[in-house]
Amino acid sequence: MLEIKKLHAEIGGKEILKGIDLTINAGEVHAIMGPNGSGKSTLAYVLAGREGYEVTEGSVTYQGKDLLDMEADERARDGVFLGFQYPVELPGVNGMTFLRTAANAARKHRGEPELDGIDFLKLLREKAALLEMDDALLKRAVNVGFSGGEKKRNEITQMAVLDPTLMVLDETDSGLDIDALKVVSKGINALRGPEKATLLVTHYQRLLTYVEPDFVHVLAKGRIVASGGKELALELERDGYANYVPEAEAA
Amino acid sequence: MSIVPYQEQFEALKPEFGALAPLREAAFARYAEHGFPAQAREAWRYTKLSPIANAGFAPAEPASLPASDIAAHLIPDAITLVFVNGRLDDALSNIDQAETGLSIKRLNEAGDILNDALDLSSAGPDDALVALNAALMQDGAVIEIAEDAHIDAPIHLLFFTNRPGMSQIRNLIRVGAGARATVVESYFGNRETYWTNVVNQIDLGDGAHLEHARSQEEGVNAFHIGAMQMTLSADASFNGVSVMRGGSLARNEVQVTVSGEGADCKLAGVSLGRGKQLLDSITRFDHAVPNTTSDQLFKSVMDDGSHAVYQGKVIVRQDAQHTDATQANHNLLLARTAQASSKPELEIFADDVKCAHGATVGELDDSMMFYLKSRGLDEDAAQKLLIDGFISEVLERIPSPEIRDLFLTDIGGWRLGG
Repeated sequence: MLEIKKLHAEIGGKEILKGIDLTINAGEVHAIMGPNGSGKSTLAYVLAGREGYEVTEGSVTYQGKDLLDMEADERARDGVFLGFQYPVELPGVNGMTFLRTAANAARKHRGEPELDGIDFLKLLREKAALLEMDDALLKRAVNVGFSGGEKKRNEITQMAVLDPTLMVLDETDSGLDIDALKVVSKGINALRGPEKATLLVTHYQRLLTYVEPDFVHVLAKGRIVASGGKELALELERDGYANYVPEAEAA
Repeated sequence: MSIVPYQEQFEALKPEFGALAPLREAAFARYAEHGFPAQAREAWRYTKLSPIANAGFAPAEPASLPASDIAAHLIPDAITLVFVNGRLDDALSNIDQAETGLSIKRLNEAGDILNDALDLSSAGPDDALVALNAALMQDGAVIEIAEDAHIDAPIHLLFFTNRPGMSQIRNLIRVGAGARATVVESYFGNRETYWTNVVNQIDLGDGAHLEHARSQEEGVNAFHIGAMQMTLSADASFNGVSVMRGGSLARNEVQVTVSGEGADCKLAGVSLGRGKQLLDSITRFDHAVPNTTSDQLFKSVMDDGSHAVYQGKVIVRQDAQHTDATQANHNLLLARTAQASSKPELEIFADDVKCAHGATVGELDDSMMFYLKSRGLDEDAAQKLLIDGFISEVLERIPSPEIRDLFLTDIGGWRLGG
């Protein structure tokens, strides 16, 4: 589904990704782990198409298409979802209006009929219940005045409504207490399936206890320096990144 | 006396003056003393009036208007007064709707009231066009609400222009003690070059409450000069929301005298500009007595080479202890060539007051735009949501869902280029 080859990317002239190779097949969950500053979030932003992240070399193929040739919004309508490490607050933008506009943009792209207000509300309530999101929160301005946990649950609620094919989740576990982590994990697991793929970007192993990955990769200084199964995450939790990045501070 | 602009028009209208002749003569003399305000005057710094002075507009000729042209702008169940080219159109209006405690008269039926209410003695050089309006006024509504009357139906004054020329409109709204009402003003026009000069005088009695909404969507070649002069007696309250997006040159000035203890005045506005529009908002809030409050919130969204102005002044007199006054002005520029000028001002002579003011100018936030795009919204849809979000704080102040929806529909038209 996703094939990343020799990917180099820079921000403001500084090279952050220095040759990433990664293939994710449908049905798989991959975790990218690594110390701070290793390029994890950069990889997530490059996949989502954020401006200012310049790809200088390499290719990314998504479902046979050149992903890098698509605008951020085209990628999203085509099934790529980025869960933000720091979800953005949108003052004055009603959560329901926002999400319905987004859901209908994707439906239109797929040639499906747009949802009217009532059908959308039904869908939203069903997904929000899974994430234990209060109706009142969804009606407010997007993320404004939400707690850290509420913001992350809101990200996964959005993801559930948009039903993407490729889920890129950037540090979705950061700032969550254990109960919220379980709820968010349940939401992510509900979206797994043979036609879907997930890329979890995380600093810690604990999310991987609840969302079990098929593969774990260690990213350091812009390169993948090790790959393995879920046992690799446990090893990193125990020993830190020192074996892979000698000068890295212990996580 | 040398000839001033609009002297000819004044002379031509003289035969129709009737009982108001002395008032009009005095008003014209007051205007002629100063003439059109020059840009050297701070209050008129951004508003270049020479095109209006030089045009020498004659009164716009009467014309009919198909009811279908205004159907989309009507408020359900409102008492509606439709003015076409500055004159009331009886056929399009439903002025007769009975409401206990409500009196609506046309300007020319209300000579005594006007003679009593119009006071130009304090009109200075900055108010010359208010004086000119009193000299030339053609039509308008004189609305009186009796003590303790609660008028549930909104009173909607709709002004439509489809001929070149000028419309000099004068409205007088008096809300009696303890009474409540809602007044909406809407301005529309076609592509003709015309000038609307409108003056609203609003007097709120003790404990009176007025909800006010104003939508200015004049045609692209129009000049619009609006002035509202308001006094609030003890415990009176006013909640006003204004949308300004029409005309090539448009100005709306609001002068408030808070003259009774416990009075509260809330005024919010949003300007939406494009092309080379100049949209000028001026306020002057004069707190004359203790224990009063005022709140101003003005926003603008400006595209292309348009220019938004906010000049807001709050005066707190020496006696006006415990005044609580806030002023906020926030501007969103969509193009590098768009401009916003902001000048919130305080003149405080009392020592125990709470006054706050702030102003910002910014562009659409990149991280917000990316967040929306990452959810599949294209550039236009993302911009629209952020702009709607930015101005929602102003529009949410309109309590009536019907009126708010009407304004929102109109603004949706602005986004689409209408």
